[in-house]
Amino acid sequence: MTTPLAIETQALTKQYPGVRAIDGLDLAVPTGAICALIGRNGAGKTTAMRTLFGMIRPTSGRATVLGLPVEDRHAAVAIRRRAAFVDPAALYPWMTVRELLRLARTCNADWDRAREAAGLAVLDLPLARRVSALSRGMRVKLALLIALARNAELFLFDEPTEGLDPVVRRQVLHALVAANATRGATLLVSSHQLAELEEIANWLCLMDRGRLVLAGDMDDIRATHHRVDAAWPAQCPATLAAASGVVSARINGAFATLIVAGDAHMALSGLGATIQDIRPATLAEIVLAHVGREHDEAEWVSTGAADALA
Amino acid sequence: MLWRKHWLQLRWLTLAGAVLLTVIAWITVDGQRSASFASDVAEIATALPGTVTRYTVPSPFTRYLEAHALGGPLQALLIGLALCIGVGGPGFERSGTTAVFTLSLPYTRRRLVLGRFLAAATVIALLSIFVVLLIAALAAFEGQGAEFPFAEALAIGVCLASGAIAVLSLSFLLANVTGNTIATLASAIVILIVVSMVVGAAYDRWWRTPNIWLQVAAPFDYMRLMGAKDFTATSRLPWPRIGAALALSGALAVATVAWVERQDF
Repeated sequence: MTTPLAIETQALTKQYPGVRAIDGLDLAVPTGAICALIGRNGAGKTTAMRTLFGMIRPTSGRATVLGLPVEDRHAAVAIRRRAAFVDPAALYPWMTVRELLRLARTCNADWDRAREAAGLAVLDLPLARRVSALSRGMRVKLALLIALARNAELFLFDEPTEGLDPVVRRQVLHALVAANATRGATLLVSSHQLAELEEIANWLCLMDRGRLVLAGDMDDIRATHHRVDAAWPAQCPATLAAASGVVSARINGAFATLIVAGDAHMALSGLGATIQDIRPATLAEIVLAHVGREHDEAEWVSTGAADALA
Repeated sequence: MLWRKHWLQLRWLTLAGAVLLTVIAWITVDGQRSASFASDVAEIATALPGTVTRYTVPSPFTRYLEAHALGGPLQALLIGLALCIGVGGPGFERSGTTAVFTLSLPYTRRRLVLGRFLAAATVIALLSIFVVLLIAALAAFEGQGAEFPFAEALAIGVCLASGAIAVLSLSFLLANVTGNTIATLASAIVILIVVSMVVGAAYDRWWRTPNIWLQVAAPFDYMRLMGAKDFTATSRLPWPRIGAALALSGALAVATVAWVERQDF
């Protein structure tokens, strides 16, 4: 039996004048997963998340969230009832914490007062203070408390731990994992904090230039990606980077550091290489291998464009 | 539910408006009392060895109100308040960061926009009616209740409110389109000036030039409506003008909904 999908998109595209923010995105996030949505700045992560939440209208393609089509106006309301988009910067700055909680309580029929009370006791939020006077960490805690007390089935987080101190960051991550573990909520977390995501996520979606370049179970992806240090008797073959299974290759004369997907030995068997070291790739190495575009940057530097700009 | 959010957003502006309107109401009643005192001058003068060199018959309270408040500071203040209270809504919030929170609430965009519009319209309508009722109350307190009965005050309040709602709806549309307070207020003021010039000309030429466009434009003379000129002249509510103002408000609110529903946030 296959796990039902909390989020599914098919050929989802968002075209702005002069730029395609999402380009045929095919996303599939299973229910109950903690999905890390990763990509470079401008990869289309935020656009994708906002499209899923009905804030941005897609140019083409289709998307369903919790089995409901986001394009449908009434289905979008049902999605917003069952899902939470957590953005600490979006909280009304002119409201006090108490007023904001009251508003959220009255707007959400499934509000869990017990969870709100428990959260307030743990998170130490000043009820009488205006949101504009809260620190970044406090705002994140408040946004998180509202999302958790709403009893949402799906949480969309855009950079939840950016700019937080280690203690608050730990609290936030703990709350996210607890929501997933105790209630089976699905989490879609967009962040550049790869070490954190590696720690909590069990599903990976890697985006680049509006497209999905890698997706799947985090353990499977890590198990199939290896970092390989290889050497050749003379020069590395010119076709190395294009070899089957080789995701990226950093070449230095007769030596190369490769990120290989699948069986590394098989990938390098026909290339005459001596494997010096092989180990599982970290998430950061996998991400860099898929979206790093080191060649582009090296080419840019070598053409003298940087000097010209300087 | 959302009413509370809108009220929290508008409360300080509402309070400031109420205070200013109270001051204007007090000045209006005080000014009318001073003017009516002139009626006693002739009588006093005959008892004294003086000569009356200049004497103007004081106008009734409603006439005074029309000339000195409704056509002047009271109308200007209500227009200013309507413009400021109209600045808001999901489209306006797009320029800040809070639109994401607003749009994550479990309501359709139509409901979010219309909710904000209705809340603002209710506030400006209540302020409009409040100020004339306050003037009537103060007039009664000064012993001039018969000069300005509450029923008349309420009728003038309706005129003021319908005009103010039309101004507010213009500001609301512009705020959601531009997403900028200064641009909203500046463009709304320019539009209001142009409209007042055009419809003023329409009214002046109403009977002289049988121009269909001028006849169509004439009911939209919001300054004449808010000045309660028709009511003070005929003692009847100007339903065509009130209807035109409310229809225009509705059209602008619907246009705002259509605009916001087409936007990406």
